[in-house]
Amino acid sequence: MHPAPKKEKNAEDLRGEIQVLMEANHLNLCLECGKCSAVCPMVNFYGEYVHNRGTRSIVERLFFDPEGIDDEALWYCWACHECTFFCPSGVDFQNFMTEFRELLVGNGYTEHAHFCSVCGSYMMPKKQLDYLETATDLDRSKELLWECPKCKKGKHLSVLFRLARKSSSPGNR
Amino acid sequence: MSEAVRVGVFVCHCGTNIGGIVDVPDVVDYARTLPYVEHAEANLYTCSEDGLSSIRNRIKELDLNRVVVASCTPRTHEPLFRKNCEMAGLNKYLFEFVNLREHCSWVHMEKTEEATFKAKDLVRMGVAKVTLLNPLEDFTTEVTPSALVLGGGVAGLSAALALANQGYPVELVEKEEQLGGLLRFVNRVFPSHQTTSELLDPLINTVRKHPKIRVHLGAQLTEVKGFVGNFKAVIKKNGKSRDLKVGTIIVAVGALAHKPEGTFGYGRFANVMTQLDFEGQCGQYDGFNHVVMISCVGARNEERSYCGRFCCIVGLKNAILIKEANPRAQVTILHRDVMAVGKLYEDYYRRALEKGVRFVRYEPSVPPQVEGSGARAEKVKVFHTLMGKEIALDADLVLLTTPLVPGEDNAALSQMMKIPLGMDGFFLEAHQKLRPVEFPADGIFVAGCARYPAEITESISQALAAAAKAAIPLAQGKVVSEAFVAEVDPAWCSACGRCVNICPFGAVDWAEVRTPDGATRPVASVNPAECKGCGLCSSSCLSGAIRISGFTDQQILAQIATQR
Repeated sequence: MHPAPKKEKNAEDLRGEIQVLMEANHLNLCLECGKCSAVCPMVNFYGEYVHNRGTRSIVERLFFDPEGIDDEALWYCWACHECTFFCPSGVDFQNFMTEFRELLVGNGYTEHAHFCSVCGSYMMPKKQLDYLETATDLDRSKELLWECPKCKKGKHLSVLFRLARKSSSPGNR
Repeated sequence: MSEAVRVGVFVCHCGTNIGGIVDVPDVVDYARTLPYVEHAEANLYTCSEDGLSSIRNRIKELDLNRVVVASCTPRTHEPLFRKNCEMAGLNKYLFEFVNLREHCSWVHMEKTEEATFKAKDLVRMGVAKVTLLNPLEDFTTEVTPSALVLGGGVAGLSAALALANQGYPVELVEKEEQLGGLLRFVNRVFPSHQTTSELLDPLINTVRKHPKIRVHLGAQLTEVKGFVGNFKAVIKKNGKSRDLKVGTIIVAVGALAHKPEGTFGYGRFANVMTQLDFEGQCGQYDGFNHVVMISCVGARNEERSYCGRFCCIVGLKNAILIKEANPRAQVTILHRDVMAVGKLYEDYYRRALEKGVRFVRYEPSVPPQVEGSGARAEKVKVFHTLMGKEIALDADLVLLTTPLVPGEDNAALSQMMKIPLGMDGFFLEAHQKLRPVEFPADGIFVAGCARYPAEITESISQALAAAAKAAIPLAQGKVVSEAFVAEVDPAWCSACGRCVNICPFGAVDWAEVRTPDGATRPVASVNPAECKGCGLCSSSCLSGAIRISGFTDQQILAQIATQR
């Protein structure tokens, strides 16, 4: 299965949908205090702090500069919940990011997303995959990162199932 | 003085404050050797009832006629010791205070020997002065039991009403033809969004109908003479002057809304206006799709360094009202900081955020640009500091949030009543923390925006505070002032005028004396009821014509001369 093709959706409509997501996750309550940026672990993953990739920048650009949503900068955040936990104003940035990427992927903005190699469902940003591949000790089992948990589970279940059938067959017959 | 001088010296240990450092018994022994000293003793605490009764008893038993207490600070304890001298039948001004704590033990904590030496010096100086003191009497003046309130805004109205309800006649002077002040131009009040008239009209009606309040509309204050309890104010109305005799004055003249002519297209584009213009001229909030507000216009800059304190909240108010009238309207507030402090205003800020009002911070070094064609502004460009680039916002209405600025008459009023103005042009209270509604001159008080931009709640609180303060002399019926006042010897006065200018209380004024050849000449003269005895006139007098009772040259020089 392959990612959905880029839909020629009306840009106005997409912007409206993003607006709805922003309001549902209270992005408009941002007080510009900067706690989210202070706790964001991205600087640890990517080695440097780049403002464009951060929470506050994303909130601001979506409000005031909604063009350019195919920008790679939107695909660095891991949606880890740290900023959401510390936000004094109740901005649910984690949930927003998750839903926002689903919306983007659904509309064909797929270049920066990583999909399950089996079923093709969205897994994580490519940037996150790159980091995990290099930073973790997974030399011989990198493929574990390429499949979504559902597919992994399915694969192993079928193995288990086969084993179970094999061991039980002679006795019963 | 015909009777012999008999001095009693009381040295206080102040627990260990003095006794722990200064050798008090040694100081007492030394004091006994000084001239005219009949009695010297040490007390653990002279200010305790034990010590005070000792002062009273010694005065009676030993027939003492001068008292020196060497202890802590006169600021807190001098009145107490004076009162006890008086209770024992001694004139309270035959008392001298020596400060052994702040002036000696606390600053020489490590050096017992030297501190004791200095304590002896201080006591000797005190004794030298006390022998030269003369009995004095306090001044008492009668009080005219009425008050003058300047300004008929919400502060003036509240102050007038508070005084009148306590039973004192009030003269309310307003230079406009209508009561209500700046608030008349405000459409709704934050955060309740009540219409202003709902709040203001009952207040105005109560004041107008009050039998104790006389309202002078369209009246200009032209002259103020006198002092606490006996002010004479002259007001001019329709070309006719009129005298008002009052005991106290409350200055509640308010402030003006700043008109930022020439900035951000104000005056050039019809749809660029201040918040107050907007509220005053329409009162309807729908019909706008893109509204941009710019905060801190004319505030927190080099010319005007202060923050208007509630202009941000006014901006929030209009933003919320526009959003409520038309939820699809895009309202953006360009700010430098959102100052929404105070009861409920954090919630109010949040309410604006929840309604979808957008906030963008701008840097004063890169101010927003209002662009348009003809007489209409169409776009506001602003450098978005978080994104690091310029953005353009559509605008069919641009509101400039401006601070209140000092009234035009402030300088004239300040001259007239000799009350100080701050650097920013607002009236300056006597003490920022401890005397917030008073002036250094007695009997004149300040409330509301005359002092600093204040919202309605604060204006009313200050008005009530000023009214409470202004009622004190009215209730007491008389004003008692200390006997330590300056006195001009006309024969020595050269009429240079330095003392007239330097007096912070306006107590020195010109008078005329007859010269031997029958002509008259001007001399300075001190009104004892206004004088606080600060000594500025005396020390600035080039002719040595001014003396202050209780601090005469003779007394001070005697203190200095007794140095060993």
